Amino acid sequence: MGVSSRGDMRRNVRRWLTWIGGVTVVFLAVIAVYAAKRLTDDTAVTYADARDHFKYGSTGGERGWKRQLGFGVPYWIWIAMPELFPDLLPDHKTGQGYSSFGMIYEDGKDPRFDLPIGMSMRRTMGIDRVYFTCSVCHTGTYRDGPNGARQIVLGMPANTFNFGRLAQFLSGSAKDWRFQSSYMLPKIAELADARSRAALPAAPYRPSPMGAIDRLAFRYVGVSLMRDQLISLLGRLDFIDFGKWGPGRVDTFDPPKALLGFRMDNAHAEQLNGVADFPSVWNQKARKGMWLHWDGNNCSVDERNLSAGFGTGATPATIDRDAVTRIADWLWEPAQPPPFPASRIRQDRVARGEAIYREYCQTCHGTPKAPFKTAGDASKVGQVTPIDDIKTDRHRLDTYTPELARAQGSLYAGYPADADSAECRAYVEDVCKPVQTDQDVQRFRKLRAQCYPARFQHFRKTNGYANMPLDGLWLRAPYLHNGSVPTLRALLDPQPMRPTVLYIGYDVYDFDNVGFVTTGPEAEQRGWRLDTSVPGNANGGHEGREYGTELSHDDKDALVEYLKSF
Amino acid sequence: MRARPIVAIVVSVVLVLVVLWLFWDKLYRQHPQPASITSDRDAAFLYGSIGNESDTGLPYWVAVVLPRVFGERYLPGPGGYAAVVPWEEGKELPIGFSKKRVGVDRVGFNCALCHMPDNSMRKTDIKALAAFFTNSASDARFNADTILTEIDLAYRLSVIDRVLYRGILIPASRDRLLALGRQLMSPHTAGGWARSTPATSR
Repeated sequence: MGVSSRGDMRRNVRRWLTWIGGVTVVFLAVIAVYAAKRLTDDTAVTYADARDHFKYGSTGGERGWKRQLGFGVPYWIWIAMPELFPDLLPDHKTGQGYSSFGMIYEDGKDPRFDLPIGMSMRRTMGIDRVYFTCSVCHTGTYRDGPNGARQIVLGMPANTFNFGRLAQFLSGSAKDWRFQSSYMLPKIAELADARSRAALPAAPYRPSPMGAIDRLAFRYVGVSLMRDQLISLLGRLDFIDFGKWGPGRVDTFDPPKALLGFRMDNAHAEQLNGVADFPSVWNQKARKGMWLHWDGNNCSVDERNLSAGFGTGATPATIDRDAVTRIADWLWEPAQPPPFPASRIRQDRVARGEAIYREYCQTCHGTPKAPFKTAGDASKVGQVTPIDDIKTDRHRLDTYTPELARAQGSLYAGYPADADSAECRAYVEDVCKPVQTDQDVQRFRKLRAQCYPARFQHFRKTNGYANMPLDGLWLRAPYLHNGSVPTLRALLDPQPMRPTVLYIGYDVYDFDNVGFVTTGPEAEQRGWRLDTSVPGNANGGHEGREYGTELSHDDKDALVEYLKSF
Repeated sequence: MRARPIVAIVVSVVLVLVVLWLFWDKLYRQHPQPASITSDRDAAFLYGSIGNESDTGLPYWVAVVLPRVFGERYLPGPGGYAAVVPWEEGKELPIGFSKKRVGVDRVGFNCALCHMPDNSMRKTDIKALAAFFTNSASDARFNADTILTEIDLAYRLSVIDRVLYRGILIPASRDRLLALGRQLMSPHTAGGWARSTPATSR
């Protein structure tokens, strides 16, 4: 009896252990499958239309690679931040999303829940994450008057966007004591609730709501990880004074120094102040073979794109090659500047202006429309004018150091895998050659398909600023590389006559002088004060007889009328 | 039935051979440098291998990310390697650095590191470079986690390379860098640098 009951007990225990073991194995298997699915998740929000892709398409910057978690901010944290830290916003107002940084929300979008132009979304690690894309710095707005309708122009410099101020906000939030799950999660729950009740227009893709597992993940890891990511990213950029940027401007070549681990504590002050205007990005086909960037430090449109792509978080390991190529192909030729309103051009003066342009400007700036030059016209468009001739503010030039030009040669190292093949050597040669015929384009595209992205091989140190083509000139105000001259008319005056204080980032247009309105109460209230006496903001140079600043009053007016048509 | 031990032996021998081949392929197999370096006299002097990649060769990705991780602390100024070594624009490595695949891509150092054909460029600050190698290798952050994290920002290592970097190449780099630091300070004749200071200005 006793023996048999002992045997029963043993059998029971064995049966129970089998059950427990089995359930555990199944449970672990389910977790493993779920985790594997989540961790390998990588789906960008995509758009059928090239313009939408430019506005919101992902360059790959949201996702990570192995030990790099990627730059993407979880969607729910992104929309919660302005609600949670209104005191750190420029205007301290909730319910506006990121509009107070000059980010553009299209009509019909709700800034509380929708993304502004220049933010892309990708589902990675099971989370919808957002980060910058090209259009954040290359889409701007203008208005006819204070009450005029806002016109959004793709490819135009982001005249209203204060990137530096946004960096300060992100950095300030990450360092704020409220950046923790016990504050973040209730705010997210509140926003999710409001969002589900808001009548949002149908969109091809919505971020998924937070499920129970997401909430757990955010409570115990997600929020602190995000904080960690923001602090380490912005910590690396600590030597940069974001407060000096202002709307429409960026310090282009100091962030790569951080990426390359440069020691910045003993860097010369003049190497730390390269604030420059965002450029327009139309007509890249015609720019192939020109010297690009303000100081003409690279002749490769592809390298220039990849270099700028770092700003969207796209590293060699994470870049979405096809998505970036698609943007590049749209900027190649389809993307064009809108024409200046014809009714605002005084046609009777244009002919006189054209004659003056040909005499004074065309040698350096080329013809009005792409390709900006004809074979054998000895055009210097896209070439560099030495700093001693142009005499504009030299900070942007000096911030791009010879050491940086060299160290950039190690970026995208290892790519493409067959760099020594004949095709890829041909690609590196071809990438800086101007396009003449359709065959040129086809040959180049074929090489690019095989060899892009490729290690940077065309960065160089120059001693001046590049002569830019002038397509869409009217929307590229304020002028000079640092945005220190408000209008074309002011640029034709010698330095002592140019305004010394301008409020930039205000998008009402001055159709007579060609540029944005930078004075007056509303500009002062909405704009950012640019003081030309601050180092880096000097408004001198590009002056003297050959620059047209000694022309008669009437001739200057006529030239401005002609420049409107560019 | 009798065949079984033979099958087992054959399978193990094949397995051992595969593993040995992998080791040889990924750690010792020599690949020639590209013709763009070997067939050009100037390039061969500046970037050509003098055969020390297997001996003192740093794994390529350790050499690339080293200034990105430690340059901020152990180089004398901004610029990565360019702060202390002449570097031609557009080249992937500074002058005197040779890249050659011995198993994996590795970086060695050749005559041009110290001996430049003309005086137009920045001269190598050998002391600073040696100190950079020594100090980086002596830093507590010199470990597979830190180095791989930085590599992950720059390149997608294959699964096998990743295992090799973590287990073998990065730990071995520490010794290599310390040895390099010593060697660079005593070229040709012991104490050579003690008497003559290399030029540090451009």
